[in-house]
Amino acid sequence: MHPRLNLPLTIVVLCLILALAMLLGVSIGESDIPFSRTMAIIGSPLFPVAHDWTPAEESIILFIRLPRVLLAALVGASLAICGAVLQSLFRNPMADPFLLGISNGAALGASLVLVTGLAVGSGIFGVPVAAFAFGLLTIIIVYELARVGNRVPVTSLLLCGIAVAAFMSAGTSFLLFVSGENLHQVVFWLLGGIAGRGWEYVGLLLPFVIGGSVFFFSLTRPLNALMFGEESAQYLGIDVERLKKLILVAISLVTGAAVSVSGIIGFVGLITPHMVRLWAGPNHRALLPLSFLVGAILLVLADLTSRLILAPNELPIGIITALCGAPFFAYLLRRRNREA
Amino acid sequence: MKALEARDLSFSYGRTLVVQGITLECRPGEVLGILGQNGSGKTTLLRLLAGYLRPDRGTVRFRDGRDISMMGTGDLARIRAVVGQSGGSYFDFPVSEFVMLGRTPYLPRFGRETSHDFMIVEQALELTDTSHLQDRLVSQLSGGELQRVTIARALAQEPEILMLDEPTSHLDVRHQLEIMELLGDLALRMTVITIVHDLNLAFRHCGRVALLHKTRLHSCGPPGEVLTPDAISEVFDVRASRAEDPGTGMNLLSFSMPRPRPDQKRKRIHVICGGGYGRAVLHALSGRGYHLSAGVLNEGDVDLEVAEYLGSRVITAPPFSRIGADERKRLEECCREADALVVVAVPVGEGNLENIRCAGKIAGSLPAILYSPSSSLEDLDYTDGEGAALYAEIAHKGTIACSLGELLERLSSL
Repeated sequence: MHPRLNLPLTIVVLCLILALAMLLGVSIGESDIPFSRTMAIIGSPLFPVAHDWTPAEESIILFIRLPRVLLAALVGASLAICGAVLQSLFRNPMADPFLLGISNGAALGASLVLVTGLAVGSGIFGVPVAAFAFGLLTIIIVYELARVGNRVPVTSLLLCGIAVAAFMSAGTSFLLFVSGENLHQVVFWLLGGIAGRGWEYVGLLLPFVIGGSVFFFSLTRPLNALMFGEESAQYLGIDVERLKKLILVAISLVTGAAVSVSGIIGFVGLITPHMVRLWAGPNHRALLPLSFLVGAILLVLADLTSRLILAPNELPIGIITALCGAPFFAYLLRRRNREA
Repeated sequence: MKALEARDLSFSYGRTLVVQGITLECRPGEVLGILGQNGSGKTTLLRLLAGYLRPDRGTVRFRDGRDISMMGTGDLARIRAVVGQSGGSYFDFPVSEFVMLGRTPYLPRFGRETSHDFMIVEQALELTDTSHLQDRLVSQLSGGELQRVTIARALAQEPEILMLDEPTSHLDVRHQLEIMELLGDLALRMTVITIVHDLNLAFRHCGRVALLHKTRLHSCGPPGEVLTPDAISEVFDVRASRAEDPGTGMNLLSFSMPRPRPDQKRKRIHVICGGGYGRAVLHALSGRGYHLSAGVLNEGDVDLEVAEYLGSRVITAPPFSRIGADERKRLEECCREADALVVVAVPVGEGNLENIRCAGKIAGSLPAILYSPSSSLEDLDYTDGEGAALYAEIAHKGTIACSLGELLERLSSL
């Protein structure tokens, strides 16, 4: 944490910005509902307000826009916090939550269900459950491949992640090739999107986000110690191998859950921690909560953009994050290289 | 009493044995230095003592008899702190928070640091003289500052034993001394075990040293007993000599490359010198691999010490006495076995006149070189002309060389 940063104040300000972004997300959309009416609909359970809206408007706000905006915030927050933790665990600024092949595994699982038409039979949870299961399966394979006795060296974890991810995405490519009429559906899922996801999805993701975040926040000190090397952290009384395993399990569950509801949304997990470090420093006491909030804000705004840019059509949100994220990341790198 | 006791430690990476059968004890309040060549197992030994690695065989026990391999990481971190080799990326972490990391083994998961923790950190900063750095970022510190701050972080663990892996590497001489003096001060409160590369630093600042040689413990004890020229040359494969530093009265070790292996075909050269005039010649000839003999030299003569250090055969006479018939006979013997004779022009008086007389006689039958780098021969004569005449005779029968280069060239053309 930089000495000048007032953490509680920063958190409050970011919470306000997030609330504002979410309000914006809820009030803007294809059907033209005035801002005041949106506010009234959202506020009605809490405050006595005049009931001057149609049931259609109410269901658009409460059952279409609100869950979707919440989902965007939750996905953004979980990807960002997982990215921050993984970058510290690997001591590698290029690490992101998809590094270990979770996303590729999840993509294969989702494609399998979509292509074979199982999706129709298995209800709305068919795709997310398959994606989640394949994501976890992938990381178990990566972990077992990388394990040396009782230890998991970070480099071998990274390399095994790349190998398994390549294998999984070859599988997905094959399915795309033979998918025929389902091709559009699969591609749309792969590009990442939260369009049309209702409260069920929020309910699906929420426990993982809460559990994972509380766990990560409890790791503030061990993660700080880990930045200065595994051996050094061990000397400070941290059981590094156990910590690594716990973190891998938590990351897999949280990222797996996020990917299963939203598809592959790149760059949020990679860039958000970098942005936060730039002005808040590398201390996890600030880095973790701020990444959580900034990730949520970014994805809510990205979701809004994806709805506006080609209105009335929607762009997959993964395209937006990559379009904005990649140049921004390049800018960060250039800036850092100039300073160095 | 023992602060830490290692018994019969062995460890291997795969099939490579890195540490073999090391038994060692550390006493409370001492600075124990671990020395040895690169790859002799120093860092591995330190990691074993710190409980980072588990020995294949043997045990490490603390003061109270507990086996450290049975202790949890957290318990260990409250008893010993380790300052590893510096390096790696340091982040924009403020120094005070970096030192606070040392409190990790005492802090609960979610709880905040208490005023006690802040007090300990403050003390650690004071002890290492780094209080003025606490608002700086770790990434902005110089090497010496970083090392002190890292030691402060270790002190914040309130350890009984402080272990360091080459804390003075990459530091300039002033900062090296500062760190070693700091360790000496800290030893008043705890036991310090440190790997040291610089033997002179170890000599001055360690109460005891453990010398490792090829994965085993060579010897352990006070530096004066362990760091003998013989032990150093065996362990480090250099030639070593030990002298007293005239300024500080402290022991001073100096090193040079070992002589090439003796070769039967190498030429033997006898050198007549004395009073330190022959030092450079002896070193130069020895460096070229010639077999040397020297004399006659009086005991206490600097050149005698040099000749003995270089392992040459010497003919000696008692201090401040003339060269007698017996010494002269041995000188003639030496010259008969030699392939060449080098006479270093030294001031000649009654005491060493016999050397030159003998040389003058032999010069005809043996290639002889008079080495006279600077002074004129008359100035060296304290014998009313006989010495100067003899020097001239040697130069006439043989040759004269005015520089080391010239001398070596003449010798190699023989």
